[in-house]
Amino acid sequence: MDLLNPSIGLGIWTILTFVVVLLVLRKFAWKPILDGMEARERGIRELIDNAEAARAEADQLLAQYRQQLADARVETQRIVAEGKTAAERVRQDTVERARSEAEAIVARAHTEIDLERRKALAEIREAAVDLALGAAGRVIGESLDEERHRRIAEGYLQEIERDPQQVAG
Amino acid sequence: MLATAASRNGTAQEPSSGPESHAPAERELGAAVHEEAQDVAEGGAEHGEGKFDIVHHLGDSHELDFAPFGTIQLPRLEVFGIDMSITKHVVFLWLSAALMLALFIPMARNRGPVRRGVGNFLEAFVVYVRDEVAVNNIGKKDAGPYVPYLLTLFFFILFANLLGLLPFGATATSNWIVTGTLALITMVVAEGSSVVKLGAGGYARQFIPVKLESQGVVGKVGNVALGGLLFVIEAVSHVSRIIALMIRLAANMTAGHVVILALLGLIFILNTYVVAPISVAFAVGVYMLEIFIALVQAFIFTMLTALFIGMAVHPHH
Repeated sequence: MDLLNPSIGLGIWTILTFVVVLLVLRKFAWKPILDGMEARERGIRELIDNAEAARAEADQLLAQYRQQLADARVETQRIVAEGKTAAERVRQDTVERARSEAEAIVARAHTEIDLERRKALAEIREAAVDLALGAAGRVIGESLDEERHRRIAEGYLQEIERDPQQVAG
Repeated sequence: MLATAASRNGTAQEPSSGPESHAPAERELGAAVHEEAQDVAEGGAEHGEGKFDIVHHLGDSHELDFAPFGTIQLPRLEVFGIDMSITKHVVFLWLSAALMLALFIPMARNRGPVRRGVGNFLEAFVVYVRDEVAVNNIGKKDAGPYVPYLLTLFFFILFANLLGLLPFGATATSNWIVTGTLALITMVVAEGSSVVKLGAGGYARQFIPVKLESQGVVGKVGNVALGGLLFVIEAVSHVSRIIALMIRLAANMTAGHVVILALLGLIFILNTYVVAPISVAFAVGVYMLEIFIALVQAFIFTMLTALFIGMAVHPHH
């Protein structure tokens, strides 16, 4: 056959073959293959999207945790500082109270000592008066009027108190 | 194919050259060409032994040539007065079709998430045709329905091209009837999709793509004349691009084979083994090129088809 010899039969066979292959493959090959490819591409895209979303979320969480950590650190520092000042105040209070208590105790002790001293002095004075009276009575031999003598003795003692040097001398 | 050419020509000298190997190369060549021309004039089907017959090798025939192992006669059919013989090229179209069915239907059944082996290899082509050919030329919105057609076209042409490169193979796509028919299908699809998309009025309007609004008698006449001219130009462009499609594929597939056969024929024409290494080396080089061309031409045909469909669907781009 010549290269350029037209053959309608060959053309018809070409059309038949091509159309049959097209229809068969479209139904049994291209549709499933293309659908599968599309599904896979969609799946991959979803996976990438999910991964990106997960990463964004992780980043956000990380930032959040960092923020929380920083907040916590600041909070801790604040609490520690507060504790320090509180402790300082308590210490000062305690010291202050202890000092004032000690002062109060000392003051009370002073007053008590003073009181005791006075009482002792009064007792000594009384005893001295009694002694003096007894001695004087025995010397004189006669009993003086109790009340008068006592007044005299006390007057004398008051003089001594006012000027102890004079009595001693 | 190499074997075919070599073996046929191995017997080339027996009947045609009476004086054994003393005959000058020029006379041999002249005789061969002359007899070949006679052969063609006689109808070409009866291919006598002893001729260096490139045309016979490239053309269609009623037998499958497995020289030196003999030939298989193909059935001759006539339906309604049309010669519907199962010729060599029909057989190779069917082989191409069978190859496609054998490769792609199993590939479609493999539904795993990852393709392996041949399916993986072919999927790269499928993705390329879908994304780079169909979507790029037709647009993401409209490409969908055309993808199966473009895929079928690409692999049908590719396999037909490659089958022609096998020993004893024939290139159905080097036959202009085959490529012409495929181009015609492209034209029907492109123009048909244009009519479907734009409507009959919109389809007709694109043949006169500018508005002719000149006033006055002279202007009106000018409008008609210019409109007619534009219509003719547009119509010619619509038809000629289809003819170009037909010729491009057929000529490309023929040319490589002619070059290979001519290079190998040189050995027998010059009737010396000295040129054999050079001829074979060049033939192997051209054969490599032909593998590439088989792929490129399948791609170009598909690409241009997609382009024409794209132009038909979006006429103003």
